Amino acid sequence: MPESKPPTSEVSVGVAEAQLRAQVIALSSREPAPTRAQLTREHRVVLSIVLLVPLLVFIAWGGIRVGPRPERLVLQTVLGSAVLAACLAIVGIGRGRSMLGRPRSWLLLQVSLTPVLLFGWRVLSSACYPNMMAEWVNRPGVRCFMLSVILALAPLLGLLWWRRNSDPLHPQLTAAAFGAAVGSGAWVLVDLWCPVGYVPHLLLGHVLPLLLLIALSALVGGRVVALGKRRVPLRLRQRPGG
Amino acid sequence: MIVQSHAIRTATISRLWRNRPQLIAYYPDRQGDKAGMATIVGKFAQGLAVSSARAERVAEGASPRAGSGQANVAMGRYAQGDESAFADVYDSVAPRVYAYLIRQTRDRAMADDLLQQTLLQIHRKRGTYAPGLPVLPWAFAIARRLYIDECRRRKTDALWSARDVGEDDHRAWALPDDEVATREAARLVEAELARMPGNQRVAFELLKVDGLSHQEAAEVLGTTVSAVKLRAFRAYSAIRSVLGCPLEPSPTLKQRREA
Repeated sequence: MPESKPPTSEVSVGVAEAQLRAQVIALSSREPAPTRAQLTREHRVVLSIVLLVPLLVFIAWGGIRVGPRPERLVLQTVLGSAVLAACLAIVGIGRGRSMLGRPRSWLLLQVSLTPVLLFGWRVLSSACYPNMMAEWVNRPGVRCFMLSVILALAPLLGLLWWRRNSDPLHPQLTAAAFGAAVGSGAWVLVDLWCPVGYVPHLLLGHVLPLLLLIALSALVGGRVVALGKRRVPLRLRQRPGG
Repeated sequence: MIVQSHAIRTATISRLWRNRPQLIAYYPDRQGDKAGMATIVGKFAQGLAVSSARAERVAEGASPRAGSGQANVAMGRYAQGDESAFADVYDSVAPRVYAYLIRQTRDRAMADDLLQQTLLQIHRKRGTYAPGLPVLPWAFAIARRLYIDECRRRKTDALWSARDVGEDDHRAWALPDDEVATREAARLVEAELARMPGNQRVAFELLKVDGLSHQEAAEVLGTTVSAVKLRAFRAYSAIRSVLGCPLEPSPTLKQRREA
């Protein structure tokens, strides 16, 4: 006796689902959302600004400084770190063929390898030339630390804004990967500016800000990137018979 | 199972069809489109029989992945600015995500709420969609995240999980012996699914109930394909053991002849 038993019939459930569909479509039409073309234009403008800001800061800070380094060493260091930074940025920022971004393992690898690879390359390059790893008494690394953080700030904020409220899987890891990618970009510019190859200086002035950017980005940026909890009340919905 | 599914489908479709004026009122974009309405009514019938969704798929012999390409095309159109495409996105995504949410929440009102939030998130982020990318894993991942957040927010998991799917899904069909056996098996499977670790259950359900591929399920869960396969394998093993068919190598022809 299907007609007599169920307190709420299938028809009323079907109507409720139709109501829900109508409500979602109505809400979506009321809430404007940018199309792909609009968003692409917006992103291009923001990207240009966030790339221009660090370049201007870098020039204001003094630009390229070869110092006592052989030009070949500068070229070798910068080219190597630029290639590494580009690869790490592609992994950290790109989404690949998915709306959900890179897998967790890729991001973990990118975040953990970024400081190791960049530091390793810098030490390796400097070690090939005599006196390039000597101590500089008046250069503990504070200025490099500051420059790294300042250069990375605008691109990091731009990236977090770009991917705000979008990651349903691992927002903290995604934000950490952004920090690593942006930090590696800043590393290349700092490499152009800083002639010191002394290991404690590199650790304090180059590696520490990179780690700090990763940690800060994961902690603060994770909240920005995480899928938002903006709620829409069920205003129109009313269960038939309920 | 097939007999039951056919009975459910026939009864619900005929009753829905009798009430189609009510449905048409909620589908102004489909008025005058008889074929479209018939599809919608068919989808309702599928969506209604939540507890027998698996039987529906077996009975129809349809591939559960058939709708994913349609969803991608519709989403591509919607991202380009075709406002009417959102209805198609809804129709191709919502039934599967809704079935998933019903299973997770066991509460129709909460599932309605989460489905609405999921679709609105997709709507808000339409500009970020690149044509051709799979929509379903994205939608499932959003729904899953919203569900987890909702559970955390409510802090009353016990109350929510204790509630049944609801009286809506209780049907009073006359039960022949084979259906009783089927229901008993289903009850055992449900009990085993409830007992097994959450990651194994979700992997099993995404693959076998929602019909996602291993790759898609891995994306939804934010893990690797191998991990999904391993979790699903453990879930299969547990279910097989509870149904009395443990994982043993099938007997060879010689062994069968001897037996």
